[in-house]
Amino acid sequence: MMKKTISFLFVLLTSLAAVAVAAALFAIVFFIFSESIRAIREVGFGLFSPNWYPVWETEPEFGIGTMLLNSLILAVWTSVWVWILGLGVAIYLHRYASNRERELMLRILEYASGIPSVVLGLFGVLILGNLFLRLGAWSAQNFLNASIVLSILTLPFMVSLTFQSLEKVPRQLVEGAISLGAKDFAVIQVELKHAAPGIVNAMLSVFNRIFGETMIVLMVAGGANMLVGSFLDPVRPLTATLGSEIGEVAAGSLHYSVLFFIAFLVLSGCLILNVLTNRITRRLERWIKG
Amino acid sequence: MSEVVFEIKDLYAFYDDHCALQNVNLKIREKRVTAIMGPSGCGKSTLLRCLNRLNDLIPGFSLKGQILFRGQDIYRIRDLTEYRRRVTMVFQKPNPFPMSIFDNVAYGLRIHGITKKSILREKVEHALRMAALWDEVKEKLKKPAVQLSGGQQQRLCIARALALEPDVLLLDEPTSALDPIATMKIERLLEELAQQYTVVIVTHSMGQALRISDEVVFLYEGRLIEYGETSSIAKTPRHEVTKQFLTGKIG
Repeated sequence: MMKKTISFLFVLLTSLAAVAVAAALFAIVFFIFSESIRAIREVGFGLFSPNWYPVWETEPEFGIGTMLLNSLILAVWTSVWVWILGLGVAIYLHRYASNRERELMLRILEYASGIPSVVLGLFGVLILGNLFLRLGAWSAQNFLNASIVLSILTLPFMVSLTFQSLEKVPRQLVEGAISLGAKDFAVIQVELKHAAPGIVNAMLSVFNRIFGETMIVLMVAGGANMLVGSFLDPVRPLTATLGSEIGEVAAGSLHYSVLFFIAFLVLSGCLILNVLTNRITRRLERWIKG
Repeated sequence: MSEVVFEIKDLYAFYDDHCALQNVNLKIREKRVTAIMGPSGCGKSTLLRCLNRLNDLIPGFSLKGQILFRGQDIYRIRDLTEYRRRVTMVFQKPNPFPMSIFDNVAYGLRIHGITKKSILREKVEHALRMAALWDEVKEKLKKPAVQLSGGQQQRLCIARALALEPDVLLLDEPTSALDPIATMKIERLLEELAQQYTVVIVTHSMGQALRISDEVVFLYEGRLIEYGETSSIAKTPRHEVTKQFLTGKIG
């Protein structure tokens, strides 16, 4: 009797927790969307125009087009080279590194992944920023600075997830490949195919993380609302605007509502990407699990 | 007597300090089925894997003695890729690659430099026919190989090995993970293949060895204790351990 009650309570509590999480997610989306309705109604397609002058008294402009593009360019550019570099490092650790090298690298990556983004931002401002000035850049905080710091943030994540997926490849597949005469490249091909769901998951998570990251871009991207034309241009991604202005704005104003629209955009971007990740991963798993 | 394909001389194999094979001397002949038998842990798989040099991958593995493949010491071979094309291997558990059925069979061919589509298609079909799998998969060559049944997967792995037009086919308990019907199909297939290939098969089952092998090798605790014609050994085993194995007292 006692046992039954306890197990019932346990089931009840865990399902309540699950429901609470789902409810919280819906509540967040709903709240953010409802706060941004005013912006959609009053500014409409003007939201995607390039100019952002939210506090201009006579004719404020609420165009987030430039920021959106900057966010996307920064996220795509940074992701691509984090992907390539991360894949390379993971393959090296998995196949070629000695045990000592591997352990050392994994330890370093573990510590690196624990560095708070604000500390990385500080590194970008003080060290990279000064370096950029010394090298003749016209702005210490710029696109490249943000890209470098964001890749330091996400590279450990990419490497360790990819490495783990590669380590999970069954030995018998590798032996099967080698027994047919496969050398490095052909063996890695088999391993990558088996690890593909995990790797794709890592890649999209990296993109998501970069697209949504706020503190770093706030500190080192430069904050200028201009479309990035060179690596050394200061830029302002969506999240930086949200992070810097939400604390200053009058609650309930149009400006406030537009900031919520930005939040809604970033959130839905991340959610859509998550759904997409699941889809792709599941499709890739069919090649592995039958 | 047919030609000797493998000549194994004074072979010792070690995993770190553990001695897995001791003083094994053996000749494996062309176009015959040689079964390697013995209880678990006797060194059967180690011996088979030595023939493909797959043990090279295992840290701590070392080897003494000689294995000659058609007169050449296999541990002095430089071009392992070509050697492994001639001596291919099928494993205990079916291990299809995470690719389509077609790409699985074409994988080995591509490694060996065949990339022309028409030739690939021809060779893949030929290999699948030899493995008695073509009729079952010809409609779904682009489907994932892992969607096949266990027995089909194992025949696919055999096709993958045969596609390379090897000289020797090594099989490590290829039916131990399969049901009786799939096992029967594979045994029938092996009997046919034995007319063209030299087959070396590790097996746990005396019945299987009797059904398909021409020669049998008994290993016990890393030592070769008996080898010769399957039929004569089955009738009159010379060694006490073989007798016990045949009567099912050990195994």
